[in-house]
Amino acid sequence: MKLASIICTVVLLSLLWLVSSQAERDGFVVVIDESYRAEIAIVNQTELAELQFPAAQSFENISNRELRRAVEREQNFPPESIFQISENYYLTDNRHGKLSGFNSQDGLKTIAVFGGKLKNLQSVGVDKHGIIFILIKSDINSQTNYIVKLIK
Amino acid sequence: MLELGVNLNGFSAGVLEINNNLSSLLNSLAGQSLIFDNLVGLVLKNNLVKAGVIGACFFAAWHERKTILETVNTRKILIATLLAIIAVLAAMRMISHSVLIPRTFVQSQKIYFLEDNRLVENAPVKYRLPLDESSRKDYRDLQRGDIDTNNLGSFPSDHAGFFLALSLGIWCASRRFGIIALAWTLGVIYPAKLISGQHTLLDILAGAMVGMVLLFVCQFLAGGLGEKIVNYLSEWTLKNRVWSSALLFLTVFELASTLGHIREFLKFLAAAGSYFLIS
Repeated sequence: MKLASIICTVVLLSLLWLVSSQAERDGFVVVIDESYRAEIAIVNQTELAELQFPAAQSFENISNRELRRAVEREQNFPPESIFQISENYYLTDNRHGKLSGFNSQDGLKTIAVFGGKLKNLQSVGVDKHGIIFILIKSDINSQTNYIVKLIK
Repeated sequence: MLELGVNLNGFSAGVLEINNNLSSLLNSLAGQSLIFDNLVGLVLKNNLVKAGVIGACFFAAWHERKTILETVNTRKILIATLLAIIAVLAAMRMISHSVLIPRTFVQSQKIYFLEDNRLVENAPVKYRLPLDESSRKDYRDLQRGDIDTNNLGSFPSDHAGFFLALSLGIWCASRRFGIIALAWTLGVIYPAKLISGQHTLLDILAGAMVGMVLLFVCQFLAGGLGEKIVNYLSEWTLKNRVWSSALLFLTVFELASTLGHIREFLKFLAAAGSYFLIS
């Protein structure tokens, strides 16, 4: 039994080394709408202040009835911030790390899901080229922020 | 030194590629027959089919007709096995939280991983969706962006460790019932996990190794430092047959549900504790 336990321990440690050497990952982005690709930028607090990141509105201020109904139909979907550009709305759900999009034709659809260090979505904005910018804080005490760009 | 590092990195990448290819090959059996996929789904989701057989073997080994001394020894092994599977589940949770490897069906999507502050696109993994309703629901949820946290840490397989430790513990206590439990684990539960694409071969192998190591450690401790406690518990079950039977029923019931109810109960206790702390 001693020999078997030594062999198993060696095999287990080898497997852990094997997998961890190939999987040094802190977070992820699952792009549900596959027409987008993701890029990242890391910024400190000073750079962030200079970026003039678009201010997202609170969901309570949105008067679009279709959107309100669509969100209420979803179970367990509390949007924290919302950004509107023409007929399109972009919503972040901090609790589940979700970025969703809404327009009256397609309804409410998840665009991407974030996890690990990238789960804490703070705000969302879209530029005139349709590039989505998502501001993420890796943790509350951290001075480092991530900005993930989703580009079509 | 640098060359050795590069070679080792290449070796591990090669092993992982072989693992992915073999796992894809096994997963290619799914999605072809509705009956076959439902059978595989039944093994994965139905506690009676999945764990009922092994729970029954545990029960049979516990009550197997032997001399009093043999019965005490058998029960010592089975009690140490119970401690081992609790340790296995705790160890699995710790490892899977530190190694971010989502299940194959999540990796079949367009996914980027944060590595050294860079977003690296993962090469899409081949995945055949089983035709049973449960697998299709999980996949629909993924398409809607609802990813269960359980699907984000597939390495190592907790079921592989749990059932192997349990079956091997039963085998140490009683050869004939242990053989049935081991055959069920290796011949039914493991293939179902691989065919459905829930785990790769490496997940299963690592889970099995964790299960075996912790079972050996617990059996070793039960014969050494913890011998007095395990002896006392074992003799207590002989002196208090009625109470021990009631406890055994609860234990086997929980084993058959892979300790799912206990986890819910612990969550309730944690919620109740935080409520009283806040108030």
